[in-house]
Order: sequence, then structure tokens, then C-alpha cells
Amino acid sequence: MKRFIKVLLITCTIALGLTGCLRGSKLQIPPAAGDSGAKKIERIVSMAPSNTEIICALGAADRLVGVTAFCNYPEEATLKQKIGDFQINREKVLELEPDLVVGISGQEGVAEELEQHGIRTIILNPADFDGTLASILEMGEVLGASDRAVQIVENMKAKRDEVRTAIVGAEPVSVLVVLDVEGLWTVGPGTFLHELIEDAGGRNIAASANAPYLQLSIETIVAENPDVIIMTLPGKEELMSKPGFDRVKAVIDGRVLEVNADVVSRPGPRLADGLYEIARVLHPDRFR
Amino acid sequence: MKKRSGFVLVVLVALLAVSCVIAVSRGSVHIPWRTSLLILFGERGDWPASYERILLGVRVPRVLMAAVVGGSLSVAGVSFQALLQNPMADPYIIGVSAGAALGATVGIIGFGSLGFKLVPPLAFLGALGAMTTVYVLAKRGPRVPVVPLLLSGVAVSAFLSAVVSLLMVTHRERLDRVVFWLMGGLTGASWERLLSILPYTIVGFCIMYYFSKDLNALLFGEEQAAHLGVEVEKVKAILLFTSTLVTAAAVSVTGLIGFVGLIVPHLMRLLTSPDHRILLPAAALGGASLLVVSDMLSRTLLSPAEIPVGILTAMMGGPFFLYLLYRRKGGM
Repeated sequence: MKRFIKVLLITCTIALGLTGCLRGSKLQIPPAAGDSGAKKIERIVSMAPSNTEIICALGAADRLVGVTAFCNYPEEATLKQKIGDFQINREKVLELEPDLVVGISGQEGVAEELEQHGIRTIILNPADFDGTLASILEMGEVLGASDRAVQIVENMKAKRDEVRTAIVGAEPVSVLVVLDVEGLWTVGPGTFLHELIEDAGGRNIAASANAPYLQLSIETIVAENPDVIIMTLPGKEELMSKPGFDRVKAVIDGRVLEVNADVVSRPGPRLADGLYEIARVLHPDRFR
Repeated sequence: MKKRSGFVLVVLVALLAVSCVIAVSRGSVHIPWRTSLLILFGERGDWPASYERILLGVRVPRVLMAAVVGGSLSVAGVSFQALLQNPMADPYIIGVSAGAALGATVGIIGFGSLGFKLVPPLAFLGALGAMTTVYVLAKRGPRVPVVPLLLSGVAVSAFLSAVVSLLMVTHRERLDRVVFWLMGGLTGASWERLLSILPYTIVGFCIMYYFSKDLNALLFGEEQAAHLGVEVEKVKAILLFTSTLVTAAAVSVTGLIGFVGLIVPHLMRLLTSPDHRILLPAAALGGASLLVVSDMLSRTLLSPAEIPVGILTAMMGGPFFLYLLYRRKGGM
């Protein structure tokens, strides 16, 4: 038995040592063509719909060469080559010979792989409305479109101010968000939708949750009795026919509304429109 | 019989070589045959520079990694099936998959933007930790009987999987990444990752091969093997840990690729012989070919999207296995 342990230890040591040696001898892969940092960016690949929207809003749609299968806005972006969906197709990205790849939080691994192939990458990781504004400014600078970025950000701020002015003194409206009818998933603090609701003079009934996404029981929903239900996917009829929902105020008052999930959850230039849309739903009397 | 096995081994080597060449020349980016070969032989030409990066930087390491991982899972499967004397055994049966899944999940959701670097080491440690726990739980004095080993494997796996599910439910924002890890795939293949698992595969295979006669004896049952002079408990301990290391290394870089480790051993037993001196290399070659071909299809069928490779291994291996089983039954 002792001899076996010895053999095992030696084997492991050899294995680990071998790993180390092999790691040291990196294979030479041809570097990207002309990787001077100051060069103007001509070929952009976007790895997320929000990035695609920002890049197009900055007027760089013609320089965008690759997008994901989820990039459905604006129209011209849908005509670009697809480089993947949840998973990024490395081959496809390399084939497009981009000089900039723009990712989001969670894509750090892919970004590092692409960097190793000599491709410049940026990760945009905004946590809230203001973070989104900062991302737009950052992209504007990178793409040499700072003026346009400032303009977009000013417009978004103006829209937010307009909403804020409109709802001054309004009674807070309690809101339930339904992401998925089947499991009754909703949003808590730390999501864009939650922030938009609070900014639009609403009170998210899941505001005290300590997770960004959670499932609510029908009991909780009936007890909280929300004034408005916001759904990000179609399924109004199914939701209203669930047991217990016939006693919820929003259902009785007919205030169950479907909103475009892309507009209220993508950290891009349309976020202010999403805020406006939600505010209008929550306080119809304030927006004529 | 011996002659036939030798012939099958030669065919399997050829099959693997052909699979690799075809897999390297196919992908979501179309690179002509001739160009691929010229690039592989280090020639320069007037093709786009990106072709070289795609072929040498992405495709070749990915194909080689598919071969190494497929081979690893298959030989580990052979070893687990013999040690546990159970045809349902696969490399994941005593907690390796659940432990790796927990490690990877913690890496994905627990460390923010740095998590991606920690996923492979945490998955590796999780796999070893789970297997060690199962082993200790099953130990009865100096012996580790098979039934307690299997049962504690099931219990520990169930518990760890439940923890993974709980983490997924409480961290829905990273759900998709955990799900893709659990489904397994070679998307993140690189030279670095390939070289980090290769030593485990090579050393592990050599250890297993060294004990192939003992594995043969174990086919008659532990008692018989002991009578034949096999130090059963010692061999079992060595091979359980070796197989776990080999599996853990593969899983740590690819996630949970199912089916290969279960079916390829059976397939090769039907095609060659139950003699482990033949079966182990046959499984290594067969598993490598199956995963290389499956991964090629996963990259190309719905290109540029990818199909999780586990779906293809099951869809290709399953019917072929049933065909062999049926034919043999008919012949008997």
C-alpha cells in the first residue's frame, strides 16, 4: 500500500511538472495584421445586442462586420454576419479580421482568447442607467464619435428629466414584473428593469429581495396586490387565468401590460425610451 | 481472435487519423482543402492571414483536444466498468461530474469577471474532492466494497447536484453559462488547455495499461481475482484515483460531455475483445474518433451556431451501439 502511494505521488508530480514545461513552450501563432493601437477602427464585431445598438447609434453601423444572432435592432444590424449566440464562434470572429471586438460582462474568457490572437477587445459592463451613459461615452471615444455620444447621452438625460418632472408628487404605484408566466420569475434590485420602475415612480413589489432574479409565489403576489403588472413576454391571458390572479388589483383594473423586453433590459441608447414607456404605463394621467 | 483485434486496432488508428484531417479542414469558415494542408505544412501563400490564425490557433487545438478528451473519457469508462463490475458505470458514476459541476458553478457565479479563469481549476478540485469523499464514505476497514462505493456515489452526486441547482436558481443572471458548462463542449479549446490536460491522459493511460491484466482478472469477480494473485484493494484504489484524475482533467476544460465514457467501452468490447490489453487502446482510439467527428458536426451542422456536442455523441453512438447489440443477439 505504501509503495502504491509513493507511485501515485510520483505520477502526480511528473504530470504536474510536465504540464508546467509544456505551458512554458508556447506555440507561435501569427500575430494580427497591423496591430498598432492608434489605427482607426474599421472593422467592429459586437458580441451582444446592447453593444450593437450603441455602435449603430454612434453612426458606426457601416463599420460593424459581425453581430450575434440576438442582435435584432436596428434593422441594418440584422443584415450583418452572425458570429454566434450564447456561445461565440471563434473561427467566425477571426475570419472577419476585426480590429475591435466589443463584449459584455460574462464574456471575459472569450475576450482573453481573442486578445491572444492579437485582437483588441473591450468589455462594456454597465450596472445601471448612469453606467449605460458612461458606456456610450466610452464607445464614442473609442470609435472617434465622441460628439455623437455626448448628444445621445444628453438626449437620454433629457428624457429622464422629463419623466422625473412629469411624475413629481404622484402616488407611487406598486408593480409586479413577470418575466416568465410559467415560473413567475421576477426582477429584484440590481436589474435595469427594477431601476426603471423605481425611476418611473413605481414600487417594485420584489424590491426587498436580495437577488436580481427570483421566483415569487402566488400567495406573495396576492398579498402584495400590485396596481400594475408588467410583462416582458406575451402571455397575458395565461397569467390572468392562473389561480388567485382574479383577485389581484392589476387584473381587476385591466392594468396588465406587455412591454418590449429589449427596450427595458438592454443597457443601450433605448433605455431612456424604456423608462418613458414604463412611466407612461404607471402614470397615464401624467402623460397626455 | 487475436488477429482480428489487431486488425481492428489498425483500422481505428486510420479512422482517427482520417477523422482528424477531415475535422481540421471543416468548420464554420470555409477554407479549401489544399489551403488547409499547405498551412498545416507551414507554407506561405496569398490566402487571407486570418486562415492561418483560424486553422493553427483555433481549429487544430480544438480537434486535438476533442481527441484527447474523447480518449480520456473512454479509457476512464473502461476502467470504471471493470473496477465496479457494472455495465452501467461511466466516468461520472462516483461523483466526479457532480463535484466538477459544483466547482465550475462556483467559479462562474462566485467570482464575477475573474470567474472564467477559476472554472477549470475549481472543476478539477471539485471532481477530486467529490470522488475522495465517496471513497472515504465507502471504505469498510481495509476494503472498499463495490456496492457502498456505488451507493455513496449516487448519494453524494445527488447532494452536489442539488447544490448546483440551488446556485443556479439563486443566480439566474448567470444561468445560461452554467447550463452551457453542464452540457459540455469544446468551444473554449486552446493550445494551453490542451497541454494542461495531456499529461493526465498520457500518464493515466500508461498506469491503466500497466494494470490491464489485473483488470482482466477482475472480470471474474473480486474473489476470483484475488485467487489469481491480484491485490484487489490496491489495484482498485490506484485505478479509481487514476481514472478520476483522467476524467477530472478532461471535464475541467470541456464541461460534462456525456455518453462517450459509457458507450465507447461497450462498443469496443463488442468490436474487439474484453481483454483490456486490446480494449484500452481500442477505447482510447474509438473515443477520440467519436468525439472528433461529433465535435466537427457540432461546429458545422448549424454553423455559425454550435450544437452542444453531447447531443451528437448520443445521437451517433446510441443507434450504432444498439445495432451492434442487436446483431450479436441475432447471431447467438
